[in-house]
Amino acid sequence: MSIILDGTTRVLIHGITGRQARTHLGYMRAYGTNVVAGVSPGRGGQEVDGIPVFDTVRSAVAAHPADLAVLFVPSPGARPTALEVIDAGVPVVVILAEGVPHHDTAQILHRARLAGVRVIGPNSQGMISPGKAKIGGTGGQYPERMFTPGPVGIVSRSGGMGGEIGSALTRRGIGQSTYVSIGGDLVTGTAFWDLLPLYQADPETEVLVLFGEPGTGHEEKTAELIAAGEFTKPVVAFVCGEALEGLPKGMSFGHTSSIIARGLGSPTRKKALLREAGALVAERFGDIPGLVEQALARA
Amino acid sequence: MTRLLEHQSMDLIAAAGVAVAPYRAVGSATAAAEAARALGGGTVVKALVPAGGRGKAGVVVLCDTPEAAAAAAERMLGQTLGHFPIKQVLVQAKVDIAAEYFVAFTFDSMTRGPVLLFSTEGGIDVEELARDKPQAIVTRPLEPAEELPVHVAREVAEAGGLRGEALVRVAEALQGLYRVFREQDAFLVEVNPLVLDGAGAVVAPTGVVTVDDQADFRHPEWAGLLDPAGNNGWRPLTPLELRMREIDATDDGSAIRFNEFAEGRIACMLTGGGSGMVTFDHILRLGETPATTFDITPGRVEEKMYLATKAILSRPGLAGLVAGGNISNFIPIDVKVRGVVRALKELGVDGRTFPVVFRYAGPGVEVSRELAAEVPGVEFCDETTGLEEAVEKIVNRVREARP
Repeated sequence: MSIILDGTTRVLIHGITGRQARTHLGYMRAYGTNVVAGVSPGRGGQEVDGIPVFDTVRSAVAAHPADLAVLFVPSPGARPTALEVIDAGVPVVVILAEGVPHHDTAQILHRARLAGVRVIGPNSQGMISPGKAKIGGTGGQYPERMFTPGPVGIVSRSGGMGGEIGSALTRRGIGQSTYVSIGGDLVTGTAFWDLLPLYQADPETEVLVLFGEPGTGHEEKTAELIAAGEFTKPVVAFVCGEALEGLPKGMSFGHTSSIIARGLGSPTRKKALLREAGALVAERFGDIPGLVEQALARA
Repeated sequence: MTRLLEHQSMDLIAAAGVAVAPYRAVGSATAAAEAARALGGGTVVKALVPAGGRGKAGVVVLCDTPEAAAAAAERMLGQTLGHFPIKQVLVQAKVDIAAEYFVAFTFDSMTRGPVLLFSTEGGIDVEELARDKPQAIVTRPLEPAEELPVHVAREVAEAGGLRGEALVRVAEALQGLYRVFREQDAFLVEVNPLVLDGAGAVVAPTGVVTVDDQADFRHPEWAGLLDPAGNNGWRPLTPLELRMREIDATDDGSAIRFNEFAEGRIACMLTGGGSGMVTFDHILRLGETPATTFDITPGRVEEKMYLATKAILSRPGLAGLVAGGNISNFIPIDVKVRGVVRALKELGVDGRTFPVVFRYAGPGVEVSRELAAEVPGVEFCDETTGLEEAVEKIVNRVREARP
């Protein structure tokens, strides 16, 4: 098993004729991702590597029902394409674009909530269920360098560091069930805690690794849910950005939500809450694989 | 995020139909006196800097006469508040205050949308209010709609304790401020205090608008509003930060984010938001000081990496350089390495006397390793070395070279 994505998930690509999308279409299919259709307004009727292209999501899903849509569009296009996918009834939307305006994200998420659609991102790097399927840029051309099948779920607010976790675990001989890059923005469609019930229900996942950052209340709420017994598998958590607490407000490393505002979202507090809730909190990033081994022994 | 200056914010608030106290931005004592005379009556003279805490710093001064306004301006101009030099002051007509409210529109990570904060205890530091009396702040998550429904605005005013005419007037102002928030793609619109004056009118004597730079593609008018040489959130840009903005502007095929720290001695060019923070934490944990943070989005990066490396290494007081970032999933890393190596060679950098550690992993790693070998003494690490280990290597080398 895995969560959200496996080899049977029917994937639609919005923006399929773009250069990046074409590159990743090749990588995704080579890895086993079941891409059923693409959308590129004005290019309906064409094909990209044998995948049929449609002008609208509605016509695409009428011919090829999809379980998940991934948007290969730059940030100004995120809102219109996401709204199109939501209106067409695709149940999961992955937004890769970085720098989507807050007002756009809020509108996308509002509409998604009304329609019962799950949004991952914006600023997601994609996701991978090792050995089965991957979407977005995750793992690139050779995902097996970084990800192997196994019992550890990974959720990360940093796409790059999620890959580092996968790589570090893989080099220790520990495989992963599903890695989800949820994006580092202040306002995102999916937070750690949204995924807890899915990982809880996934028999393959034995341990969950979380990579947190300063800002937002996501780690805090996750700690609450763990403490309340809503998630019972061992959790290994790392929260970066302690150094930011000593810096002036307004200093940003490029993740919107890492701007520490009004004393909320401090890494020190997040770590304390996670520890109190029973999570194994890594003080150094390099401690993560060792803690995962401990957790697996316990699981 | 860019915080506009107060008069720019006030222009937007007035344009949205919210009454403001008349104001003029001036750059000299003479002009301040003239403005005070034109406005008539008492005035408030305020330092025009993109930072809070002005009241406590004594750069908000009530003046009864034009001469007093001139004196206040004279005292402020040329001073600095926090890190910001005071180049202009705002001279504003004094408002007759019957009640003070706090209003803010921003985004909430937990409700995943806009939120309205309102309190009838305005005019004081809102962080103190939130800490000492959180029940005095009404928090209302909003639908991301074109406008703020008038009933929602009234409910919020009511929940804050307002009744009757004041409730209706405040609700109108809330709708106007929401228009600024929405139409200006603001991340924050804050008015503290929003004032009910003696005549029962609602007036904004101040305002903070922070715009979401990520929406600049649909706001060509911001070009005249945002000062590219302005600030990085808490202080004006340093010369090196300004130079980096120039380098960034040479090509829109990628975007640089850069910070400089005056006291640091290790130049860091570790890209990726998460890896930037992990390595920054670790350098400080080891008792060393980063001189820079540097991030660049994927795209056309080689020339920018070259220019950026040259600019960073021109900074005096550096003891070493660590460059790289998290494992690249699909973007060939040799493009970045090519730019950095070209700069190092041109500058005649020798890693045996000026420690340089690379941590580059991902597609193109073998080419990158060969490129790095063209510079003597550069230590090249790939994914078998963790980011923290790479940081330990540069710290150890710097300490050996310059204990």
